[in-house]
Amino acid sequence: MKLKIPKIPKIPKIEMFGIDIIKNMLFFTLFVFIFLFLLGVFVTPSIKKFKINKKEYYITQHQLNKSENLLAQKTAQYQKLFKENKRIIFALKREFNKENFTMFAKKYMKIKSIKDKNISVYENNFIKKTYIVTAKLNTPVDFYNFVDASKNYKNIIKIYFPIVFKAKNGEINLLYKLEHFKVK
Amino acid sequence: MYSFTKANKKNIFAEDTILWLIFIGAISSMMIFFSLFLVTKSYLYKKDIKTFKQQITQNNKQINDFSKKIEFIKKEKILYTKISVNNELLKDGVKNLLDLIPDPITLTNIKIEKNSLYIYGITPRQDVYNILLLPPLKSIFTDTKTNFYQMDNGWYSFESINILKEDK
Repeated sequence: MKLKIPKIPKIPKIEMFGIDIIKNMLFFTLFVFIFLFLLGVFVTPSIKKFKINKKEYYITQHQLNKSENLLAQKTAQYQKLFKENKRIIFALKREFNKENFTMFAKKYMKIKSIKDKNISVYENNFIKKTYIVTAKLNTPVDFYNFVDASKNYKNIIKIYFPIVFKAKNGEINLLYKLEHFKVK
Repeated sequence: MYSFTKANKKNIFAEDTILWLIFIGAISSMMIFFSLFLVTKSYLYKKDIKTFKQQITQNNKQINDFSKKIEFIKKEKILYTKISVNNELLKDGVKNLLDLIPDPITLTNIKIEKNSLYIYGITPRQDVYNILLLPPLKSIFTDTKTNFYQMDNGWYSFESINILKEDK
């Protein structure tokens, strides 16, 4: 059996001023199709992604500026505090030196002995070393002056109880507890 | 067979077809280039975002470090103030106590503890002590006990134990 080739009707050629209307219409359709395809597949997702990234960029930049300002504030605050409390900071780092303390107290009393008592941790961050000091002085006023002067000593020291004044041969024998504080 | 006219060059595509193809090609290229530009920009933004985030993390770490250091300096300052105040109070306390001792009474030994005071001394008469020293001691301490011992010269040596209970 022989198959018959179907007859496809020819597209009629419509011309206007020498322009093929059908062909141009088909090209226009093709153009619109390609345009919409590129718009949907490439341009729109790119714009969407660009917008998201741009927004995130400005948000992150704002966060960075904020953190930089905060860092500048904290640095300034730290430097100010450090400058104001330099003496305390360095005093709390120094070890206690018995000879140096004896020299310091010399103006007010004659130190006879400094005995180590104990070491303990104070408020988690500091070490407290306790000493028992015995000394000789002329009047209790020397003791008051010594306590006043201890504020400017190179270590942070606390004079504490028990405090014993004992009169002997016109002099006063003094005993007191001395606590030295240092950073752990 | 010969022809009297010269053969014209014939394009594969008609002129308007070429125009359409150029137009479609140009528009497509422009759209693809525009997309590539946006993708590149997005990539650069992402790169910057990554750098910014790293800087933020670093800054936050430094802020945290500074905060800790600031807190520690404040603790050090509080400790120093506490010790200074304690020394000042101790000095004033001792001074006030010694100022309490009236002229006729001579002290031989005085022991000051956190909640107690032991005074040993000499008084010409018991009533001098009872009138001049005992009332201020009683006003400060919760318990006050005094023992007198008569000496060979007729004066009295005394021992005064004064206790301050916590709740007072």
